Amino acid sequence: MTKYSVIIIDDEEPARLLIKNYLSKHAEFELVAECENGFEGLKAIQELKPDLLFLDVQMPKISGFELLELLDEYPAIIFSTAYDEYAIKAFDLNAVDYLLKPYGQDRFDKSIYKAAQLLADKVKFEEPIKALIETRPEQQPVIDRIVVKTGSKITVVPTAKIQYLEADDDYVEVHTLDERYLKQQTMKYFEAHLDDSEFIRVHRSYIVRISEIIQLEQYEKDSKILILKSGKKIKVSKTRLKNLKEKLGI
Amino acid sequence: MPNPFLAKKEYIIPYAAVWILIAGIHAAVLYFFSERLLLEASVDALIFNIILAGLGLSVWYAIRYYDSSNSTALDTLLYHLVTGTVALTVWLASGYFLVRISLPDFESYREFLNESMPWRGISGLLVYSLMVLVYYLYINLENAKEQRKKQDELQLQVREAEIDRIKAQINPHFLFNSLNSVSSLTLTSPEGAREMLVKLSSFLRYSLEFKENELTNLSDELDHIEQYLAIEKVRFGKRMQPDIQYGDDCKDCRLPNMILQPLFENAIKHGVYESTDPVEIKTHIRKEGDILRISLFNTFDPEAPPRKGKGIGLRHVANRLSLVYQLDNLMHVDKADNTFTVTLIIPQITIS
Repeated sequence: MTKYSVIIIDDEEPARLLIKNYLSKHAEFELVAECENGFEGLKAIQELKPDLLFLDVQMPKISGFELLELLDEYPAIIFSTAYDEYAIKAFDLNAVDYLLKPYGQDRFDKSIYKAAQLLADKVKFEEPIKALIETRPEQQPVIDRIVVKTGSKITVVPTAKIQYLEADDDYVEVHTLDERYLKQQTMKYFEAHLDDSEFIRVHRSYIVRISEIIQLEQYEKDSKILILKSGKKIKVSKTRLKNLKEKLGI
Repeated sequence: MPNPFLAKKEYIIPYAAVWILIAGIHAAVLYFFSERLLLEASVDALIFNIILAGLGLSVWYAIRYYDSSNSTALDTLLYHLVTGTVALTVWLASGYFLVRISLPDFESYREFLNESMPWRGISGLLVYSLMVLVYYLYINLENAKEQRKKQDELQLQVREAEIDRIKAQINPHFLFNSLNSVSSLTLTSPEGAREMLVKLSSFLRYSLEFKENELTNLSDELDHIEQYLAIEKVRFGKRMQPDIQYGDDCKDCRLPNMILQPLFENAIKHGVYESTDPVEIKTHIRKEGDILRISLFNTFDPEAPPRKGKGIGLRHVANRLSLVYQLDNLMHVDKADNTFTVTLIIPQITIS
């Protein structure tokens, strides 16, 4: 019998212990790693490629959701948290189940049967459908940080450091004063989730921090460009000009 | 408050109807009993009653203008005697004048009118008094209504504040995570689980008994904090390193109850939650003359971006202190490098 491999990611030891105990009743699942934060978790997932993940949401460094954003391949995921407010988001991410702490063996078994069924059917746990998250901006009204991965290095970029964002195919370039990061995400997502009192979308390919703008200049006959404090010039699309002027109060 | 008769349709119509009735009776009495001409009776009734109806409405303004809240009953009586006399004089004089120019043959009516003047004065006085009574009654009813509304609103606010407070004191995530730890402890250490449940119960009891303005001894507050930290210690283990130091002379110092727990909760939320390294939570408590100085230091990961919602718990503490002691600046917050410091200054002078 092939065993399904499991990783537990939870920053509280008693919580991991409990999952381990519940899991020990299911011989077809095998624990391959337990991690106490998102960084460790990410490393373990990439190395061990587990079939199933027990994931806490609130953790140091990066949250459970931020961890998922960094994955290329998705295992089956069962969330295990005391926070009930993320349930909808979790199911948007194709989670197998959402366990609310504290839960008992019964409830745990239900999740694990469901996971076993899905794994047996070889259901592909796709990357979350980003479009779905975009249509639910209320799920995470305003983000205050972005987690990015450069090679094996993970960086948490506070949105307060962002100067502007530039679209780049399937990615978005995140520009801070002295760095540039690539994030696999859409402009639409950032337009919906960045604080709109701080950021404004001025072009199909650009979102700019309002306080970075120092000048709005005539470019060609009927197009304008923005000049940022850093000297960077950014195109403004005609359709978004009116909104920009309103924001700048001109 | 606007004049009720002018402001509301349901009042002005009966008011007008009553005056039409009075004018009708007035005319009928003159016509049938005093045997005056129909013209004389109608003109007299019309003129005198229209003016009196108008005066009746303006009595409102005399009442509203006069602030009776800090004057004696005698003052009020005197005031109305004066305004009443003036109003009635104006009424009688203008009525007399208008009747005189309206009747073609006034001379034959003059004697009758003169003789009836005292009676008109008396009935006018009655109308004036009645109007004053009606207005005062109306004002009192309206005030009572207003007061009841205000009281209801206040009660609602108090209740809402109470609920907010309970929610703020007992963070549901803390509660559920702790219960999850208890559940886990039953596997490894049933004794530990029992101990934790006892601590959790005392913590909850203390939190639920909490009253906004009540003061307590520092030693009670610290017992409560120790329970809280012991519970959190089970969850976080080595990641949380609390250390509380205080002099013996501090134990009996008074402070608002449940004032410390939000500080520790804040330290855990922004220190321990966000860090993978052990986080120190140091507390120094000193008595300095008339004040008790409580300082809480916690290390935090400077690279972890600040989380949203920061400072609500702390602001609540600052607000409570300024409410209880009627002094501002009793809480200071300082953030440097990787240490966050909150200092409370608790006056030890008895508050009246």
